[in-house]
Amino acid sequence: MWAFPWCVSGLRLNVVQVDVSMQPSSANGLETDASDLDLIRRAQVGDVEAFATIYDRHAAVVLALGSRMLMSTADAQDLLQDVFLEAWQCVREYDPARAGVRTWLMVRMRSRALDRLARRGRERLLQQAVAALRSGSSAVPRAHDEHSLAMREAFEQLDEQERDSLALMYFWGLTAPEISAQLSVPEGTVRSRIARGLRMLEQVLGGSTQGEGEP
Amino acid sequence: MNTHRDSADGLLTETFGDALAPIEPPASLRAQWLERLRGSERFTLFAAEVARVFGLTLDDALAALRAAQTEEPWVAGRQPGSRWMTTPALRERGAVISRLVAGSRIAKHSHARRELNFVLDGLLVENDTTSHGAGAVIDMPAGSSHELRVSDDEPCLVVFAER
Repeated sequence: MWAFPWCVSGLRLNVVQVDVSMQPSSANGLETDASDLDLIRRAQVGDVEAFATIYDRHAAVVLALGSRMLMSTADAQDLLQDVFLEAWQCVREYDPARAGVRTWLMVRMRSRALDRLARRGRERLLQQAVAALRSGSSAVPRAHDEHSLAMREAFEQLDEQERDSLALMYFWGLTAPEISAQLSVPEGTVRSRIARGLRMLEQVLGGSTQGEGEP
Repeated sequence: MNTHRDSADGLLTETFGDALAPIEPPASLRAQWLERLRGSERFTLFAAEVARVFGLTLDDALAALRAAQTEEPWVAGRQPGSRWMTTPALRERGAVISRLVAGSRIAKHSHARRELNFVLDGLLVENDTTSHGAGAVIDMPAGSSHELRVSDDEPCLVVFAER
């Protein structure tokens, strides 16, 4: 059976003080109008159906991330259950100030997928990652609202080399020296590309990653 | 695990999240996951807190909460209609998991020792004034007293211990 210690972060709980009248709903699980945060708040007091709706909203993109990283949808499907069960065990620690629900779930999938990739052996991973990068579409963020349109525009301002470096770092956890070796590009150039790419993106999304992004 | 937008991971997750074409998981996978969530995993969201409150390891708390979702370990309790169960780890900490009937009352009583209650499901009303729902801890020091009532709408599942 699974135990996920990663959520026991000093037992700092982020449960929003819940009105005790907000008890688990016994209604049908599909909640088309409820926000993600509303659903999480209900899940935090044990509402399984609210969390099932979270699954319905976000499992597809979480699976897509796992599939991209593991280069196998079947392998990613194996992880998907674990990721959502882990998220359930940690739901009372979810902090909306840190990330949206989708990001919170995707980061969990990324972490599990990186663990899985680590078992493949580094050399094999490096080769597979570059092959996957070449064969996969150079996807850009879809623009479905003003915010994501701005993000797409920022992403499109990155040149292909910057996107490649960010993708190798993000999807497969490659370090700057590894990216440098795989792309036959000086390490300093790789670091510059990653730093520039992150700066471009953070100008759109806000926040500051200064000092980070150094794989 | 840094999800914050101020981290590179969080920033790239937001970016690439919008770039990935979603892949719908098979309906069978969802069904399996939901069966576990409604069944054995139903109360595992409280595992960390139950572990902390009752001095259990996380693994022991998870095992106890999963066992509470099976029929096998339950026996009749002192309250009419109530049932209780325990596990070796819970017993070692003087704790049980108790299922109380909807509308049942625990008459006013004093505590010779500290009494701990963690509500897993349902609503426990204390002294007809304070309602405690899922996730609530009722920590009564030695020498205190109260009466408890389960709401009429549904039974109540609670982890209970006296220290």
